[in-house]
Amino acid sequence: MDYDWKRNLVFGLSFLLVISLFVAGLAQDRPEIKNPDTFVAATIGGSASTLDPAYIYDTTSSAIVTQIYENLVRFPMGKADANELNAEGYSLGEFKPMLATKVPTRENGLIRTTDDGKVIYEFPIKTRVNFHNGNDLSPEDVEYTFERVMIYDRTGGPAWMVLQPLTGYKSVETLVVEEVSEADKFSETTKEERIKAYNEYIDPAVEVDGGSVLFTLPEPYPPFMSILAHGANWSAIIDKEWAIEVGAWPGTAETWVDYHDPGGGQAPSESPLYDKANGTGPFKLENWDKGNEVVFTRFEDYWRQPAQLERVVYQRVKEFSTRKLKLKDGAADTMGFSLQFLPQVEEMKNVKLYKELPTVAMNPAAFFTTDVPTENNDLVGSGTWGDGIPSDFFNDVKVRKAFAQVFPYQSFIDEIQYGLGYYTNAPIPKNMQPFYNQDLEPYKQDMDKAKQLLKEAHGGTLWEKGFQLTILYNSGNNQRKTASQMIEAMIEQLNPKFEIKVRAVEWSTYLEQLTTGSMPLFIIGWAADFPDPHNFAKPFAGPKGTFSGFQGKTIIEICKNEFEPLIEEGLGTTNTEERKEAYYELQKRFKELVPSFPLPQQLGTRAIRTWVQDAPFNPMYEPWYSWLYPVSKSYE
Amino acid sequence: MLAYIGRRMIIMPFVLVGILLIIFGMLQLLSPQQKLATFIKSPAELKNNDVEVLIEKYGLNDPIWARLGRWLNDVIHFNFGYSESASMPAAEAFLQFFPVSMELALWSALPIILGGIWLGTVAAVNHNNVIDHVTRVFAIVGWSLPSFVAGLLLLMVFYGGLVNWFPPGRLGLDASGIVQSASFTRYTGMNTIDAVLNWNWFVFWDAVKHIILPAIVMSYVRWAMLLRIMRSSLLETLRKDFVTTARSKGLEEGKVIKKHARRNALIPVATIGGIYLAFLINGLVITETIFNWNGLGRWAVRAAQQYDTSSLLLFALFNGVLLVVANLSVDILYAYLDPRVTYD
Repeated sequence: MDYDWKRNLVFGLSFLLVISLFVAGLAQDRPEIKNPDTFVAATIGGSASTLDPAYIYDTTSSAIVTQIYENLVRFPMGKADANELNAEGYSLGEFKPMLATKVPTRENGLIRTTDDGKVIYEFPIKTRVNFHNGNDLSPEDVEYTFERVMIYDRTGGPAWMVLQPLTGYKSVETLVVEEVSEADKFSETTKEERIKAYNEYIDPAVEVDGGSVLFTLPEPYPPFMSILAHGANWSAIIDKEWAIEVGAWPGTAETWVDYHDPGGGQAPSESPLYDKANGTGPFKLENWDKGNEVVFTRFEDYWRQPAQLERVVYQRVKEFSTRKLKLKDGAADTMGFSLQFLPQVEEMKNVKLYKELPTVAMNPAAFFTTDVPTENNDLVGSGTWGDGIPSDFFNDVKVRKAFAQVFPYQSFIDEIQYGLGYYTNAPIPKNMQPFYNQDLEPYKQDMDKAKQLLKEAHGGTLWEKGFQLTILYNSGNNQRKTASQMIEAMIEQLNPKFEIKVRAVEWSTYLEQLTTGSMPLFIIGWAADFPDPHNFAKPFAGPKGTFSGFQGKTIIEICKNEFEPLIEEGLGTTNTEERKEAYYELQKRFKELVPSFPLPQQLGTRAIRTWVQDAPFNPMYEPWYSWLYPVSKSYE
Repeated sequence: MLAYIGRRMIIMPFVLVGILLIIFGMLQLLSPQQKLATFIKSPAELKNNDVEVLIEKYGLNDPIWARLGRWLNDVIHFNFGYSESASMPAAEAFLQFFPVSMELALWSALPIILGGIWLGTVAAVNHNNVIDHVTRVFAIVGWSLPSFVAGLLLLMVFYGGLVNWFPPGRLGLDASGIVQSASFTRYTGMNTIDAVLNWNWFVFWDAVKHIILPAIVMSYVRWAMLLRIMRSSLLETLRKDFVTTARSKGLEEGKVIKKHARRNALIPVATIGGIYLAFLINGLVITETIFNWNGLGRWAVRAAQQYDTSSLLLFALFNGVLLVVANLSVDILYAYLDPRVTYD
């Protein structure tokens, strides 16, 4: 009897233990949702500089205004949430209406060409849309927004993207000097000339016509719609009445210069919209704790159904381990991380990890400098063969091709990108369809071919006498460091007379060496401002491009003679087939002449808690910021 | 004493001007392109930035006297310029980051000083026995442990590990919402103090929960230094004649140590402790990073990496004031601890 009692007790306790473990296991699978109405993103990002959409030209600030403000149109979004990956649902070449009622097309007659070759885009504006302060959205707000961006045009800012298609000039100062003044400098122009420039070029570029807004482009500019789409903060629509009330430009020709380039582009805090925001978006700004945290609350009078989330919090958490602990605990719903931490994120429970999301960038890429200065330049050694390189070392295309073919692309993908890399051509990113040349085989490692090319280069002198050069990378950038070391290892394998040194320098020194054209080879990258091939063709292949400008006169000549006509062809037509042809040819010539070559490009990642539903995806948004209007938190 | 303090206060502005001129001069040794790193923080920001236009626009090629003149003129008008590294005006950044570091320093200072003195006293009193050895090993382990290791270990145990008591950051979501609301008045920018002044114990407790781990890390990694100084100083004092006299008079050992020996042994501790605390406020970089406290230390590192002149000069000014004040405080403390010391 006593034995039975004990046996039953042991059995009962064991049963309870098993049940408890089972329940605990279930609970572990679906832990209680923390802060169910609040979405917290623990971000790596830098510090936001301002909330003024006309000033912003950095990802962090842009991610804030993306939640608050809206644009005329938006890109279709895919989905990458706890349950579903529909990365294909996104598009970079199609648009959906946002604050406009229709997307202009030639077919619906909202894009038309005038007799004198000008192109008009007509956007009918939605009615019954409120700003966060209760003001109604009107076409005048749209007109004011774009005119303000153009006159604001802060140094180093994003206004060029609006100015270029609407006026033909990248800067309003150049517009005044070139079109209405005899002066050489903007500072020497008269007040009358400035007013005249406004009245003749800025004001007519964007006009209200009943319930619509008309944009008049002096000539076709295919990327124009991309420049207007949501995510492009410079095209985010602001409330004219409110902006003037808080001290922004009153909208008059006489006053525009007073509101142009405040603080020389150096002091965002000089704008009255620096720390204020009033958009039509699904979330209102509640608090901006600079450098730490941004809090948004749901806008209840949003023109669609209000957002599912009540609050959104962006927390800047610099240290990865701390971010990871927050995500693990559920105090954060998503986090940013660099690829080196991928194995740790892969092991996290209750976290859904996507690691093969499409990206639109050309980062990293290796650039050659031709006609490199040899005096007082320790990066080229003695400046002669043997213990240095001559100035024209990379002028010979065979040398450039050889360098592109020694690079161990697959090892880079496997070891540095954890398998999340892909081969590509330059300068158009692979995901920018239909403009990426699918028929062209990207460079692959071919040591024999590289050896042969280097034997033939410079009439055999290179092979016979050898060389020595130094590659710099900005310290802290491990990807660039490893890429440089891989080039070093592969080149030195070919011939004992070849020597490459790899050295880390501070970013400031790197910048100095880059801008003075002193680095014979440099590795750098480019992310899209707007998803159009022109945004890549120009900086990589234009004679005045951001990078090609630092690559010496031989490459500038190549860009001018070989690439520029194709870049102009691609920009001069809105016909997709014609553009495709131009960019296909550009990629072909680019590969042949190889002014730079792309290293393997990295796929995107996103880590979210398994309770995050309906998280949209589009590569034009940072994966951990995204656009949070549809997002909710639940297990269903 | 008052005359001495007055003299030191008069000298202070000259010391500060000297510091600023040296730092300003050093920053001018950079090339215009290097100075541009302040405005273009990463390769990604190169896009569409015409380097020559920016150099001219920001006057980076101007002669040193022109830049110095501009800067001095701004400072006279209480304008410390725009801090590119903090993305806000430098003065505003300072006012935002200072209370963060100050709060952490205040919460750490007491445990550091009292803990160090206590451990040193325990070690000296138990000279060469087990307690002495254990105390010293405990402190030396802390000294040898890098802040980031200690911080991460504690976080892994006390947040998302064995228990979930002490989260990173300065406040939780709910407390943060209260602090940002109109009903909560910001007096000092220090959460614990402001919570008390607002009589809000929910925020106070939340802030304390967030400050405990970083304060422990700060204390543990610093105890060894004070322990060693206190221990050797106390051992030396305990061997002095006046201590023997006190003992021979039949005083209890506790009274001998507390009333006679310890006060004298504190003099070298005060020397080190004063400077130690001065450095504490801007030496929190690692702890601030691990626990996600955006304070002065993190800002200073960012500013240095970017050659952010406005921030660096303001920071130098602050450090100058801090060190002068710390030295002065130590001098005054000497006089209190040792009546033989006079400055007249």
